[in-house]
Amino acid sequence: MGLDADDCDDFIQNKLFRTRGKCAIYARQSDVFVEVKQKSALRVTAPTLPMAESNKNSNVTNVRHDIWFHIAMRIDPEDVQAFSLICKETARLVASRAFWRNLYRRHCTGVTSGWNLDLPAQLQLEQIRNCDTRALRSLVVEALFHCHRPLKVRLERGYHLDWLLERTFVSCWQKNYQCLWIMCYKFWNRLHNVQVRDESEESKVPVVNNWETLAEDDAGYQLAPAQGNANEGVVLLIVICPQYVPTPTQLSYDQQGARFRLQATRELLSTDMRANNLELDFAEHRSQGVAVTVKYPRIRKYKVLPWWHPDFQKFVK
Amino acid sequence: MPSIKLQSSDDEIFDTDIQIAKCSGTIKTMLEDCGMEDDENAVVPLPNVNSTILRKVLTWAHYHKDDPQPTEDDESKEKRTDDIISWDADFLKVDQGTLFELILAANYLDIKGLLELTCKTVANMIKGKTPEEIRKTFNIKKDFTPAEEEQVRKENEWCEEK
Repeated sequence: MGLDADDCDDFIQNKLFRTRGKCAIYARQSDVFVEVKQKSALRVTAPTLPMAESNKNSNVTNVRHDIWFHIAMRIDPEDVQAFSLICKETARLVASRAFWRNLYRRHCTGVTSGWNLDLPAQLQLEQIRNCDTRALRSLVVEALFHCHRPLKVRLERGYHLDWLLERTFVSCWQKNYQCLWIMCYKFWNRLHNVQVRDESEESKVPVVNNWETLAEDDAGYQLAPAQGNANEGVVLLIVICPQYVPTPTQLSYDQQGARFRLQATRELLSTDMRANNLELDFAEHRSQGVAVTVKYPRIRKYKVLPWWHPDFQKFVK
Repeated sequence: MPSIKLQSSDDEIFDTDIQIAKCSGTIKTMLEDCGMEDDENAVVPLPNVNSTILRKVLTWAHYHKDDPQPTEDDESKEKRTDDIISWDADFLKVDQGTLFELILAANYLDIKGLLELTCKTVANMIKGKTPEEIRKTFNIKKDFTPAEEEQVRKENEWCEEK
């Protein structure tokens, strides 16, 4: 049943009034029609897919996720850091399980049914298949240092002491081997947990006068459990010397109290010029001044072992 | 030689040798599943590839028509990024937009050789550059906060050479 023009106007006014203006747009039946649009005869030359969208005003290219994905699957191991630091999209890709599986498949899978004789048992495909993504990532990194030539060369060259600078000192221990002392220093590249505790948690902790309660708290407090490899981010400094040098009391704290960083290192020729002395300067995190200097006279050798080094597990505690 | 018509997203028709068109896994499947191989008038629509890119893809496919198809074993092998032949290198002397479109077209058309080549080319452009240089090369905006950037840097410090 159709409405004439006047009735239609009244109806619209009523509707507008009853809905308190919410129904302001209302089409008459006569206003609605269908028009067949003629297709333009001109050929469209614009690309169909906005594959790499370019923002003309700012001259910035937005590369689509799937393009980054395909590129990520062809990135060489030594370029992973640079690739991950391009933008958030590439960082997300590098954090994905697919990325690490692909990297392992390309560089670490052996010719015979997945077994690679260059790899220890714990880094074989079967062993790493079912672990979580963070664990997979650290295992693949370790495997790459066994299999990928450019990374193996870096291990052969060894890591310089500079690698340790500005890292947080975690702990120190010694081993006696025949007539030599093996001093092990553990450093960490993450400060976040320590800082978070310093700045936010300390203010929330109530003051306790009961020493027994404090002792229990210390025993129970642990850093946030790390997923995957708990040693990721850890670097060891191994110093071999004939003389025992005790650890300074300032550095004898537990892991939770970590507040010193390695500020400087010096490798100096001894006075008889027959050996080297090693000096390590530690400073507190918020201070520039050196708080502690540890001196190792006449060292035989030192070695920097990051967590991905094949010898790391022999020394870590 | 039997031929087939390929229709780009902007409605251009490309009369192509069927063997060359079959370099594309997508087209090969369409021809076989839809029984279009024997139909001379059949048109294969490719709504995700425009004429400029499709022309480039067909040029590449024509040059590589006699190449052996990569096997599953080839795919899992360690990929070298420095083994691009000179014809391919010249073929890919294009602007970045075209290069990225070729990646997507190769993926859509399932042409493994072209996908490998285009991605390798971009990987080579990234190789040895700092993140800042890469962003400059591709006109990409840095969207990290300093804390996020530092975290990503530390997570991947194993790549660093000092």
